[in-house]
Amino acid sequence: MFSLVLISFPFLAALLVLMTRKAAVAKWMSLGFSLLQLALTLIFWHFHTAGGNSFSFFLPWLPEWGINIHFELDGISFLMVLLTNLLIPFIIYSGIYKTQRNEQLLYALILFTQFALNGVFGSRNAVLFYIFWEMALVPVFFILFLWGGERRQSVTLKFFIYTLFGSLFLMIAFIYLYFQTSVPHDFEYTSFLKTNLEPCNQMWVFWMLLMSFVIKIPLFPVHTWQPDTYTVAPYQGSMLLGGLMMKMGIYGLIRWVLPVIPEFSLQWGFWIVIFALTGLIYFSVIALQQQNFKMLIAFSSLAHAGLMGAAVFSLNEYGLQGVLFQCFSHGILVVLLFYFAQLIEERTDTLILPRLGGIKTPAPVFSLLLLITILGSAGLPLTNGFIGEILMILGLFSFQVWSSILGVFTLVGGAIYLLYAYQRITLGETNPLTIGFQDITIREMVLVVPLVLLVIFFGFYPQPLLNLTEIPVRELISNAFSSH
Amino acid sequence: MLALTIWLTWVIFIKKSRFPVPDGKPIPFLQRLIYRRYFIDELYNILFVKPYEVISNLFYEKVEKGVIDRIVNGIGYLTFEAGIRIRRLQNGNASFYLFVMVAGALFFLLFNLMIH
Repeated sequence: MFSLVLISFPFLAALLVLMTRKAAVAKWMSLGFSLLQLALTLIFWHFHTAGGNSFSFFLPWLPEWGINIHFELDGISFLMVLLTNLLIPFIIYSGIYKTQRNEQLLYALILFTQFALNGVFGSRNAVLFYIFWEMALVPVFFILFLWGGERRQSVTLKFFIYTLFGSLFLMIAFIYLYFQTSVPHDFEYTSFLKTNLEPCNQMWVFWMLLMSFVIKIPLFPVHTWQPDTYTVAPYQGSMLLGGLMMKMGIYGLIRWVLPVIPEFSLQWGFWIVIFALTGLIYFSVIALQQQNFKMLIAFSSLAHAGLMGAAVFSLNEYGLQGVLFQCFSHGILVVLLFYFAQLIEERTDTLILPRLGGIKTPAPVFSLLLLITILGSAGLPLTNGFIGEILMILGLFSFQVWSSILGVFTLVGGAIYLLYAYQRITLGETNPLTIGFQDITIREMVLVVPLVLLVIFFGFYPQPLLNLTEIPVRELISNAFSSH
Repeated sequence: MLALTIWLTWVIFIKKSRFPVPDGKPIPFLQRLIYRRYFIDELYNILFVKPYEVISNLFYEKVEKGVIDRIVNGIGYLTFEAGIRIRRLQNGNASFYLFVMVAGALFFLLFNLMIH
């Protein structure tokens, strides 16, 4: 029951916010609700750790077709739910002092996205998962479409069609898997795990599932919707996309591909690792070329996603633990990076890196906090970015030594383009645009400082998060791959 | 050691007055090698920085924008164009529809005959 409450609370909150008359009240109300949701999540975490309880909830919905409302939050799911519910208050807060049009709708849509994301991560029934998966797309589409920048119509349409196209493969694969379950057929996750597919059928189910998840992440070469969408989206939309929605794809791979089609994951893992690592290097190289800070964050995200995709298919404990940890770290870091971009744009009216420079002199605290975030993204030791990356590289090392060597390129490439960007933003001489750059204010610190502290805290002490995922990852690997 | 340092400093800077050579004055090769830090920076520039920039530009301008983006946008464009062209078939002319229907029926009839 607790999992049902945890997952569906944001939906009720969204409805209440939508019905509010005053925009200011709606904003603060949505922040209050999201903080309440975070508190609920932390209480849940306490019980989860104390008793190892995954709070399964089962309610038959359309039992004749095997469609049930079935939620379960094991360590992997819970980590994602924790990330979602941790970041949403910050995403809401990032825009709370801005005046935007139709704010009731905007904040209701953010809470609605939270509901859908929690549902995606908690569902244990394929149809339920699919419904939440599609549902997550709708609020983000409207956030981009209604509050986005220039060219938003064409970019949003491309994003929507691209990701919807991916989702259709997911539906076909699920329907096929449904008919492979034992009679009476059902859509339950556990039934999907027991299916015994013919090798030739495994192949196309695998590719269909892979396609839908890989587009969502996205990995090379189905990524073209991402840089434009991140850039055109309003900041809160970019944070939702980069911080949270990208993790849906990674989660999908870990939950619905590896354990359901293990033989083919083993057989094709090698090639997917090659593709993902090619993407990693490709994006790292391209990131250096970017003049727009938001675009640079987009390509940096794509490069990190490349390493995550590769590590998923390293198919070992290090790799998977690393991916999950990195999902958490990357979420925090990308929200911070987008927030810094927002502050820079608000103060200077530009994000073009060559036009910036010298911010360090008028804004030393801002520059320091940005530096910590950038070093975290570049995977410097004692930041949370390092833990995930080192575990993923360890995973790739156990898989194939050469892949870990390529994987290290995220760290090297990241250091090059991120530090270069930092240099262009903060160092050098000030110019008329940056000379009066206001240092970070207390209001802004309310968002930045807690997240920066988390970056450092989990860099020093990653154990609480690793403990969450350790047992489920071990079980997943031993159940899926022990016989192969 | 301290005495030696003091003595050397005195010899170099006070007795011989060896201050840095003014800019523009030619420096002997060995001195220049050390002055320019064995040309390590220049070497790095040629070996790493420039190729990285060139490849980065090539990937972004040619591969990303020129190929991958173009394929995706091309599919969208083709669908759009196909829609514009094919919709002309639906011109509301009943005799044209009848003609297409008969042509279709004939096609299948002939196709069937050819197979058998």
